[in-house]
Amino acid sequence: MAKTGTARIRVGSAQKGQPTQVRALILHPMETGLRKDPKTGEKIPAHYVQKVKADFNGERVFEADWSVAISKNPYLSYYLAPQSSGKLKMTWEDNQGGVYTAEADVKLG
Amino acid sequence: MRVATNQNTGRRSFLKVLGATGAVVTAGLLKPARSLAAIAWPKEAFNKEGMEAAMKAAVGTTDMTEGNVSIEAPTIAENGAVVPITASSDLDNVKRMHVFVEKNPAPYVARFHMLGTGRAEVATRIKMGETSPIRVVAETTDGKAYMARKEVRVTIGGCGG
Repeated sequence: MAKTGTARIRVGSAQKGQPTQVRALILHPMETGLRKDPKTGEKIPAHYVQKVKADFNGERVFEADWSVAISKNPYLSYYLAPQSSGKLKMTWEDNQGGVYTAEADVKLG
Repeated sequence: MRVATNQNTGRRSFLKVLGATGAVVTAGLLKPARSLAAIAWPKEAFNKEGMEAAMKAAVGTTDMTEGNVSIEAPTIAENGAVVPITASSDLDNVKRMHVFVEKNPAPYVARFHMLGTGRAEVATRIKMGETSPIRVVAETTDGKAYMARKEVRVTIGGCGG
């Protein structure tokens, strides 16, 4: 089974200055803190991604703030309008101190 | 519906790729991560109960114009735990978009900051406890707020379940 925090980014074909779609997925339980373990009856502690950051060539281009109401294994898409080829780095941070990153190359066509 | 179907297909093949290759990590190619200060996570707004209070805490006002914002989401969601949603605006000066589910215990779901995206469009999947309107608010750089609303019928609730 794949591990919490395993992440993947896909970037569409990019043209200079044109918005291109970025799609990102991370494996994460997104536990609300309200669910009970069916076996023990005990509450499962909240464990969810709160912050997503995207940096393109070291510059912040996008950020997201999430509550517990984002679904398990969160999917996210947004746009990027690159002026040059470069590297997109994404970071996901959860409420238990977990920090996960993934990178993707962006090449202008 | 068409968009939702495409996204699901995309996600499935995406998951396969994930399993096969894992995260793409190219250590050594980049300089050490630059510390870019993050925008503060809006804890208080996320905890607010009731639509009006949540919106006030999240956006700072409930005074907004209807229009210039669209929501793509299924009319009927079979599983409230995973409701695909795309929020977009045709305005070119959107700095932030907020997503709310009116009847969730805490209605404020997420916000997205367009810092250099070139287009105000985001997609994700959200949890809905019951049938409810979804509301998306777009804030522009000139301090205005625009809003759209779409009812989604949920057959199996997805909060805490």
